[in-house]
Amino acid sequence: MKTDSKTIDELLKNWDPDPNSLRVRVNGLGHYYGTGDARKQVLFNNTLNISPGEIVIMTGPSGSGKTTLLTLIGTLRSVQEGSLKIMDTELLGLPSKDIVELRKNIGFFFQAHNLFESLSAYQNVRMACELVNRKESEAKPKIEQVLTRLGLGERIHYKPKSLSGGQKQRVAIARGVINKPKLILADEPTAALDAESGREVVTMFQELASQTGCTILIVTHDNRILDVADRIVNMVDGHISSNVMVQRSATICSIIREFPAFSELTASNLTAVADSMELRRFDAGQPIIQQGDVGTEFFVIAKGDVDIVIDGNRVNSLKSGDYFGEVALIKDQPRNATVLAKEPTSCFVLDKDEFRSIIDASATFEDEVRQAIFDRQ
Amino acid sequence: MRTNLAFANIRSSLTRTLISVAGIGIAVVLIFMQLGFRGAVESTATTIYGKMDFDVIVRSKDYLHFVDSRQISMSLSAVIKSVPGTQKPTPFYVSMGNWRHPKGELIRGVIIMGTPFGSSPFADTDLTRKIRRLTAKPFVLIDQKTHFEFGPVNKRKFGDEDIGVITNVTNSAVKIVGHFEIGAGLTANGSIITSDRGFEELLGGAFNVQKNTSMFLVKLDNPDNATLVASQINNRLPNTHNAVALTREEVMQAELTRWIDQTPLGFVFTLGVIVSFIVGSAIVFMVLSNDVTNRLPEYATLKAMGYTNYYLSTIVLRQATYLAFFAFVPALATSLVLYQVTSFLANILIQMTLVRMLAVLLLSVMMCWLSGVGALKKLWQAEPASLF
Repeated sequence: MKTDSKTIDELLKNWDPDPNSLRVRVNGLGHYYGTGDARKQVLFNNTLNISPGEIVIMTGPSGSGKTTLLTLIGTLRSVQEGSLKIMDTELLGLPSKDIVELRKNIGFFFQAHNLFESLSAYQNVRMACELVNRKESEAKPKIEQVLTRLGLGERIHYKPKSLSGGQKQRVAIARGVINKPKLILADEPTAALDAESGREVVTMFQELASQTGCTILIVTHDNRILDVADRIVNMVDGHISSNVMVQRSATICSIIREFPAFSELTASNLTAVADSMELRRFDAGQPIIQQGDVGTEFFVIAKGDVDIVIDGNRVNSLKSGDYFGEVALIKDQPRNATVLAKEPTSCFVLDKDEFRSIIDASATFEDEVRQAIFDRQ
Repeated sequence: MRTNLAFANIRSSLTRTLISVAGIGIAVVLIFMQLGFRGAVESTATTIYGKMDFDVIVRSKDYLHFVDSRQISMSLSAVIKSVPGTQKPTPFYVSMGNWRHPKGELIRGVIIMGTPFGSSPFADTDLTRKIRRLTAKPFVLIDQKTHFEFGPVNKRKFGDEDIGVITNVTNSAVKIVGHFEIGAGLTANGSIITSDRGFEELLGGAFNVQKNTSMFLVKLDNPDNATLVASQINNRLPNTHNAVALTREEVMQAELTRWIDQTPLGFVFTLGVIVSFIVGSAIVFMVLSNDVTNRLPEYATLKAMGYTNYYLSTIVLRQATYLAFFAFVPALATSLVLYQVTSFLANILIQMTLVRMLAVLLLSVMMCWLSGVGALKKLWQAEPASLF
């Protein structure tokens, strides 16, 4: 994958989102079912931050707690332990009146479509519009537009019982998005749909996310739609076992696999390395490593140029995609050079232990490194 | 415009709606019939009194009801006359007898009313004129509303062609000399009017019309003074005579109390209304709670969307109200028909009144609301988290 500088710019910009602008902030969230002896913990100390416009796909075996987490975020269950903020409102101990009000900003898609059997497709969607008291004259074109967009133009006034499973699901989706919610929570939204309709739905999600900054959280096992995810959260036994920002991972991978030892890694190992890397920023003129120090980290430059200085003399300069700091780690020696940031610079940093474990796994690596070091000089 | 989910629900499950409307409708019809019967009892109980011309009545303290009036002494006439503002008291005789079919053996109970020649106990001037025909002991006037079992010539209703017909009442011969129209009431299916001497004859010596009377009808110079005059008469009535004076209102009320409260009739009808109400409520409750259960995921979805419990409750209660109104209209129509049929068959007048219509409408709405409120509990338990 070729990584252009624009992708990197975007990645670096969004690396640490402003905590005040987060749409969902889960902190130390635990949850229990049952009472007394039957009380069973289903969520353990989970932490998850989601930004506006982000599409998050949650996966995990059944019983892993992902649906519980989804319903907690969707205000459909009371928070028992920890902190859960959506749209800057703490849900722990929030009065039910405020919870009901908050729900108007959330679009839900259920595995069962749950349309009102006695209402037409149009009226079903209008039930959502009425929540925000939109005038019929304003609502009508919007409803018709959304339904038409979802391929239901001919069936706007059909009752659910005259619609196929996929069509019903699409009506439910129209109902969920019509008010442009700030948060969409979906449980297997594409499970009942054919590939084409499923694609139409996720495309709609993507548009909502990018145009209105809507945050979308999808529980799914449908790997056809994994490509829309900005982040994939995997849950096991009530814990978030991995929380991967897909774009970020991919970008980091494309940068770090230029390093010979990493190029041999399988995609999943490379992703694991990418996920364990940390971003560090340096100002112009700031030393990144100092000659003579003990080397504890390996660096890959994400953006910016750096100078390599040995004994006060500039011997070389490195640019985006280049790496440094490996020699001291491999040879267990003090740093043999100082690296100075020439301009504001961002580097991905991997600590020594992680680095060593990858090196040790790579048989041919030592030679290559030597060659690389030789080439550089 | 808001989507009328309640109406849509009612319309979409049409079969269920029709069945429940039928069930509620039957309950409403039952309520109408019970109230109709009760109303008929109330109006027939006072039919004859209603036609009689008096402001105050003096009668025995042992009086039970119109045809079981007991006897008081004729001598009380003087006491009554002594009270200022009273006009001459008219003795009035009433009892039961056995009417024999003129051309058969069929015996039927008949109300016998006796009046002295020349007096006019009834307000109707035409009847007063006819009473003058009762010049001989066996002469009687017969009520045209008397049941056809009594044997009119045309087999349907007594009329002019029955004048001159001779038959027996309690073993004494009578001759029909005319007819009138009042309606007998609940104790008998027919009534006749005869003279005081005729009355004595028909009672076969059980009643001495010279010494006793069933009651005195008293007209007042000023009918507005009835309460005052009645109490003045009461003050003067000797204790030994066991008699009491009552105003027209008191007489009417006493007759109603007698029939509605002192017989099981009123209780039976009230119980009938209560039972019908409970049956109707049970039907509505079953229908609504079934409906809520079927739509529970839909209601839970509404909650997830941000609709309040209050809004959901209004949907169910509106559904209940629709059911009440939809059931009421055909039930009212059916009841009107049944009133006619029953009036004809039972020979008592059952009439629909506006008050009764409104009361039953209110009752059926209450019935549906109560049941609706019962179904709400289920609704509030709708758990949106269970939808995922």
